[in-house]
Amino acid sequence: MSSSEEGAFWTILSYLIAGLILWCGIGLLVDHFLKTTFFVLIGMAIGLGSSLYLIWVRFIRIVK
Amino acid sequence: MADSVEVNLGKGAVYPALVVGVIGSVIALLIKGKSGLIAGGFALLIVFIFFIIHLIISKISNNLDPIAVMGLALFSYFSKVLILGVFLLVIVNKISIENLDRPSFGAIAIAVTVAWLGGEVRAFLKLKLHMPLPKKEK
Repeated sequence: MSSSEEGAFWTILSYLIAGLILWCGIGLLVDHFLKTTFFVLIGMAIGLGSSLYLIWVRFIRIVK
Repeated sequence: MADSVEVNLGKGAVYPALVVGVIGSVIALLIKGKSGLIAGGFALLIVFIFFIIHLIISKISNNLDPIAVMGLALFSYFSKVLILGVFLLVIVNKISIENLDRPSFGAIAIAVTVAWLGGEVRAFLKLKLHMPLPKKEK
């Protein structure tokens, strides 16, 4: 694996982890304050969606 | 028009996985009753969804750059792990043991997965792939 490919791997991984942590965290906070349980799932979906969007913009759209 | 590689792999994998899943569900029905049958159905459903997503991703990424393929593969892997986690949490918390037998679910899910992968490998070995030959050196 070349250094640019390795860099891409870590970038993609960080997008995925950061998106999930951020949006699941927001969902957990909303759940905590509103005494609900489903906002964490919505946060997870938004986190995954935003990660895919970033991966798409950065690595897929430009090389198509 | 000939089917794509993914369609051939899917066709080769669906039948053995379906047979194993149905046989497993019937055995679970005989041993554990209705809860075993429901567990078999759930296991079959979740394994099929996961592998079909995998085939769709590989179809989408046919003509993409290797790094883009890696991005899609990582994304689909992450999504699958998360969705499976949520699914298992829902099963554990919302469905009682009387309605869904956990050991049957696990055993049938593993059996269907092995059958699907075996079918996919068999289908892949049967494929006639056109490999580009290296150019002759002058």
